[in-house]
Amino acid sequence: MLYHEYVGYAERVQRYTKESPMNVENVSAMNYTNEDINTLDSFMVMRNTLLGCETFLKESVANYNPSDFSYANTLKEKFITQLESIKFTQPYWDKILTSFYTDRHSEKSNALTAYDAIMRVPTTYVDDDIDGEDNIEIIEAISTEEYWKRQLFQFDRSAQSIENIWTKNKAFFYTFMSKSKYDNHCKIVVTDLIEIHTKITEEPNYKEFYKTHNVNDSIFHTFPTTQYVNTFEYSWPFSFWDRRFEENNDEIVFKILKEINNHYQN
Amino acid sequence: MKKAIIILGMASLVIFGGAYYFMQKSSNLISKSDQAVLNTVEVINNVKKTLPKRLVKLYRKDGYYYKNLDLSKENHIIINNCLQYYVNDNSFEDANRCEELIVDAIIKNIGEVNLIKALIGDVISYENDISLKSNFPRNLFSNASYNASLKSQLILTFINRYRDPVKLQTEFDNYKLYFFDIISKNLYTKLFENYLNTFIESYDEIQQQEDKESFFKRIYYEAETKNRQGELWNLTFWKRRELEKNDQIIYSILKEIKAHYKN
Repeated sequence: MLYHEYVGYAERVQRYTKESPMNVENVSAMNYTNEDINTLDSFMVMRNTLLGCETFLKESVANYNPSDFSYANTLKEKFITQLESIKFTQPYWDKILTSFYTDRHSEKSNALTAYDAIMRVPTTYVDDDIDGEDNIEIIEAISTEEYWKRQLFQFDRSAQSIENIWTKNKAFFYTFMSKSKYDNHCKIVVTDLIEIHTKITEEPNYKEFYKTHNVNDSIFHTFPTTQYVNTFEYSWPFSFWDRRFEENNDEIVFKILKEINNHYQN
Repeated sequence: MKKAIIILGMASLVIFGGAYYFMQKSSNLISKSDQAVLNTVEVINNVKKTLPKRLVKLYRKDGYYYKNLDLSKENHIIINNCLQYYVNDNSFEDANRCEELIVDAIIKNIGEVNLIKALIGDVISYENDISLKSNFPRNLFSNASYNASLKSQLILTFINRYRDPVKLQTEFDNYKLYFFDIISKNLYTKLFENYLNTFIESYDEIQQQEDKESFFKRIYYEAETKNRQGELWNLTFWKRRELEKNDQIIYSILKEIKAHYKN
């Protein structure tokens, strides 16, 4: 108790006996006009505002905990909104196709060879949390990828719908997809898909085979023969047709692919 | 046992007594200082009558006005990441130039002209006598790992942008009318004139030297061996400006300011 009072007293001695920092006489001697005082004051206000910014930044960093923040996910929503706002324009398709043809994980330029049979139309609406990622480019890549997966999931893949979309938009597709772009990205996969379709439909029991089998790499490798499948670097086109048979849109997709192939051959 | 109780009782009485003594002293002190505050207020009130009213404004305590920076989410991530470096090392050395981002964010939030005003406000000492801080701009470069505040680092980052002579001239032309307007001749004479003249005179002095190289060798030798960096700052200032190739533009700007206030 004695100690407390003594400490309190000592503190008060320090606090109340300190000299006042302002020296009225000095200031008055300077004889500033009202305008000068305003100016001086505005400089001080702005300096204090800058100090306020400094305080904000320091507090912000002191409270910053990367795992608390879902900035990555907020950013993801932002990137997706941006894509929505430019929907169906040329930059939109450039972004979507670049994302589709770039595999983030393997960094191969031709992502299709990295995709396996598992690479398929999502069966659910994709909305994954991005954890522990603060590289903006990677967040954008993840967001774009998620975006086209969502679009594929929501997209009406009935034969009728695909045909409608194609007839309405093929003129745009041909102008937008230049020959060089096509050759660089699509040519291999389109020819492969056509060739594989032709080959497997030649087999008398193909409907039966694809009816009973789900997507699984090791089983696809055996039809029509393991040898034939092994001539391809990737098994994805086989599972692709499995899904088209399943969705009853194989004929229209095959027709469109042949049309595209012919267009770019001439 | 009885003895022990009596001794304890006496000891506690002594303690109570001592505590009461200090309490009395404390309350005396507080009422005295209250009186002192009242006296000060009276003095200020008296002074007020003879002074422009607004001067009283400057008596208020220094402090900061909390400013919430409106950052975009992605800048928030970047800035927080690099402030982590700042907290650890007290410098932005490894921080990927994100101090530029912070300065951009501040400019976006308060405006460039206000940041310039903040810089001037930072140069002025408002304590006692309103004056220019004598150690500006050396204080900005003071040992980065110990003394430099985040604010100084940001000001330095902002100033660094004006080392480019073209940018300096453009921005000076943009803002000069505004600052000529708010800084009266009176204020200029009292606060800035001497500082400005020192630099103009030292430039002239350097120009008169026949052998500039040996002149600067001597100056730098003096500064380093006799610890006179502060004193000789206005001379070495021009050597650095020469190396940055912005010496002529700065000299002409200083001359222009001087000429403006001459009339």
